[in-house]
Amino acid sequence: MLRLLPVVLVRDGGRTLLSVLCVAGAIALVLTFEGVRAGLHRQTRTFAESLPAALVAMQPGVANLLGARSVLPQGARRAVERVPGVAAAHPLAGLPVIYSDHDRISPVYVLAYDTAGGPRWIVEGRGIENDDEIVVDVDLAHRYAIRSGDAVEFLGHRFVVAGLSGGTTNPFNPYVYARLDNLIDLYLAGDLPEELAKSALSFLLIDVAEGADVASVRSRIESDVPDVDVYTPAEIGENDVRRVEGFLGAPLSLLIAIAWVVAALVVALTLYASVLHRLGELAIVRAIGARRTDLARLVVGEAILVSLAAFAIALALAIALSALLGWAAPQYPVEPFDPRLLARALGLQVAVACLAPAFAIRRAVSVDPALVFTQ
Amino acid sequence: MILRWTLRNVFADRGSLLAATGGIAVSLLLVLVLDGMFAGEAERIVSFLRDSGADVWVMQPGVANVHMASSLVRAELAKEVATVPGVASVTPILYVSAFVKAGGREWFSYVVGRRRDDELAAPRRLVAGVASALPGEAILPDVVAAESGVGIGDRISFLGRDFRVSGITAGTYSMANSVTFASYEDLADLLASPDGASYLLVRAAAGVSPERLAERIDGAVKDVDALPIAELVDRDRRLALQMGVDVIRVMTWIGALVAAVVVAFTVYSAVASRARELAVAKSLGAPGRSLLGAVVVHALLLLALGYAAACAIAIALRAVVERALPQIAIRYTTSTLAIVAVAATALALCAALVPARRVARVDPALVFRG
Repeated sequence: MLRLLPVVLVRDGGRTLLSVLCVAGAIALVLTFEGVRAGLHRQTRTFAESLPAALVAMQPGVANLLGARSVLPQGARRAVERVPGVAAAHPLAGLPVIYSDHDRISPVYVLAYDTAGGPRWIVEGRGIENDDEIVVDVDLAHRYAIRSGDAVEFLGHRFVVAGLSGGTTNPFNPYVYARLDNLIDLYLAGDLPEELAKSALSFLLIDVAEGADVASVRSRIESDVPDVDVYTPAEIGENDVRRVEGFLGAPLSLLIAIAWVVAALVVALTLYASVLHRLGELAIVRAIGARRTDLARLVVGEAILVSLAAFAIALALAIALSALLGWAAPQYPVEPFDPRLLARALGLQVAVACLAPAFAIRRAVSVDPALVFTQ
Repeated sequence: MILRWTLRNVFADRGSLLAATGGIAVSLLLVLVLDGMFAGEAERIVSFLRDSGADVWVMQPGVANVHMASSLVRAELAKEVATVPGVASVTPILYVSAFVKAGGREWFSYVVGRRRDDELAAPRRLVAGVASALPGEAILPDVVAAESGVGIGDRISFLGRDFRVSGITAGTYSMANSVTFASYEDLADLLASPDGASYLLVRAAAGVSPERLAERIDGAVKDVDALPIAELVDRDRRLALQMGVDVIRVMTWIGALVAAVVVAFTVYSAVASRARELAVAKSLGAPGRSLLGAVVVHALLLLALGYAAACAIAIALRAVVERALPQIAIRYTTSTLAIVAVAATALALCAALVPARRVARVDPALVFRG
């Protein structure tokens, strides 16, 4: 009986194709929504983890980089560098500010660095080499049509954009890099807002001496320098992911849950409608002697075949949607290819493919064969 | 005649009707809920500003926002602003961002320092306790209090200091912009600015527009910028939505795209399944206009039922979500309901016309042969 399947599917190819597309759309929805959350997590975690340091010191009570306001006392750098096992402590100033250009406004996070902590990946132009230069996140730059070499008004001062950096965006405030000594000079000249001076030392990127144990050095800093809390970049990454979840976790979870329910219903209704559409054919098959179990096998087999074909198309659709979003909203990377997610989506499809036609099967198997001849 | 025939046939096959309207309903529901969540948050984000009661906000030069901004002006400028013609009253407040630690959790919040008897910038809806904090006290948004499990009399901390919860307010929580209230004295002490104010909230005299008053203040008082409330609300909403919240907007686009595919397929499929009946009707002499009418009625019927079901489920879902997840606000706007209805109708009619055209081209004689 299953040999009839390809015939049944190909004979009404247009309808089969539409069913496949509909199911694929529903599954692509789930993959994309889940991919948004996975992308946000990866993007957030990666930036913190890529900090060029074994340890990062910040204000007690602060445990994040994302959107954090951390202020360290000026003596903190020297105190940390005195701790045995510390090779160097590089100052980093961080301040969330608003970038505006005429009527448009965007939140950004200024990272002012000295000996380490500058942009790691320049995608256009070059790094900062001269005074009054900044490096701007490439997605922010594209939003404002900023190119390397342009002059922009920023923090009330005119800077030249030396280059554009990649991997420096996030859903809250993309990063803009400046040289710390340059900002301090501008502040002393009265060209920058006072608030910047308060955050002149926000973080310390700590290099550990060769051969020293990172955990021991960390314990020693925490006991010797009470003015700082110390974290590894990986811990900061996890804390930042938790912060993203704190802001967006509830709505994202709800949206994803709704997407799963909608996908399950759409898949079920599509497959159900597909079987109903073939009731006449099934009656004929029944009339020529097929058993009820044969009909059930035919219907479920068709649903599973449609689902599998749809799953392949859903993957392609998810790639297309990810690319589309990467172009339209690069601050929200979509990563829909976590193997566990794919397994769950496939599992949902197969489960629904087995269950959804059940109601239709009841009608199919109860079709009176005589009906075929009376119609 | 053709209408009755269509209705009878459509309702005769309840299984197909359920599948078609169900498919349309869940697709439209997806779009309504996604957009409703975005609209709800967009509204909540600026609720403190909108409910502040001020017509004009006066701030440090160069600052043009409240969200994410840091403003400091000399409090004595309040007297100067008060002399500007058209100013009815001036209220200084302190405003700073902080992480509020409550019940073992951390919440990003803006902390507003206001004097006890000030009318402006007061919480509008009190759930429990008092509406003005004394030194050492704080007033929390209801969502933060509920999610953290803290109540009146419990201890919380922010900016490195402990506070006793003395009030709980409604309408002051949003994902990006929740507002905690403290006394002016406490915040001035914490910010080490006893003679400063973050913002001066100005109420206009009767008959004076906020826009005109902001211009007058800008012209008359040095060292400050003034913004009418509508402009400030607009700027703050645009800024705050960029901080993570517009991910919901992005997801709405995706949801709308998928919903369009499902609605189009469902209507096409339902109409196509009646192609044979329509062809028979044509062969019996039904005019083309009647057949087209049957197709349109069928498509619109499915859409109307699906849309009504989507709206009903959406309303029920909002009640459930607001009870179970108070941090999420869902707001269905008339414009979205109208846009979804019009777009879905256009899509359904286009999808229905594809099989209808095929039927129109069928040779009636073929029906009896095939």
